[in-house]
Amino acid sequence: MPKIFEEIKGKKKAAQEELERLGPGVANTDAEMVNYAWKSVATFLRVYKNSLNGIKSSEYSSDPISASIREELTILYK
Amino acid sequence: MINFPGDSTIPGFPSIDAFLSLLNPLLKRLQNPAYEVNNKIHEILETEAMDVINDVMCTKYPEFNSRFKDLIRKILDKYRRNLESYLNSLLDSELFYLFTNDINYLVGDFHKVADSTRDKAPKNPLVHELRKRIDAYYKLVVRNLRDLIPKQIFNFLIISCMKELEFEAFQFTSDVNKLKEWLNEVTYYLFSLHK
Repeated sequence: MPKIFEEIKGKKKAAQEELERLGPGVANTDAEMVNYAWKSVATFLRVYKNSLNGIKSSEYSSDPISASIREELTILYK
Repeated sequence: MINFPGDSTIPGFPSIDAFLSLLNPLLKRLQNPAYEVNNKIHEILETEAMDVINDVMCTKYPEFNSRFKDLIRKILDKYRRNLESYLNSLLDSELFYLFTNDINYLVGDFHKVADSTRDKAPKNPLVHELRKRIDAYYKLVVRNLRDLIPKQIFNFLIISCMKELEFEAFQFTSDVNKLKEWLNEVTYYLFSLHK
């Protein structure tokens, strides 16, 4: 019996972790779907624009790319 | 100089054909770095866009994410090709038409434009004169392109491209029937089960 309980606990924990990783529930209605799509596209555009302008976003871990673009432009014909 | 003697009626003046034949190979060398920087910046933008999508978008809708990535790639590539064609015509204009409004060049004060020829001893005055003119003109072209190409790259690949990207991205989300098809978790779970 204790072995079975341990196994159930382990599986429950794994399932919870997987659910957390997947984020909020599935968009079922049309409005939810459009809302999800708009939200994710808007987040992408905001983070991408910030990266091009040299601003670090809290949603994205890497450094902005503006410096590497500027570096490429500076070394042209040097 | 031997191949392009110039106008025999005005002895002592360097021939324009000699000037062109020596200058054109130098100007042709400016083409590849411009195309390379265009490709390099396009690559940086595309890699960053894909990384941002992977980082900020939910992984349980692989179909939606993959369609969005394709859209971004298509727009970035369109602007890369537009810029390439613009750079092509810009570099051709430098190659096929010689013109400058630089006052130092126009009054014949080449030393202010091309410092590198100052120390070379003038064994043949005609050759020295031609070298000064070529160096001065080449430096003017490089100086102008070093300013103009980065501005155009920024304008095409970043400002104009971002405007279209924003418009197309929101158009992408406007069709509910397509969203129903793309925002489907089943594909993700099938993929996870087969892993």
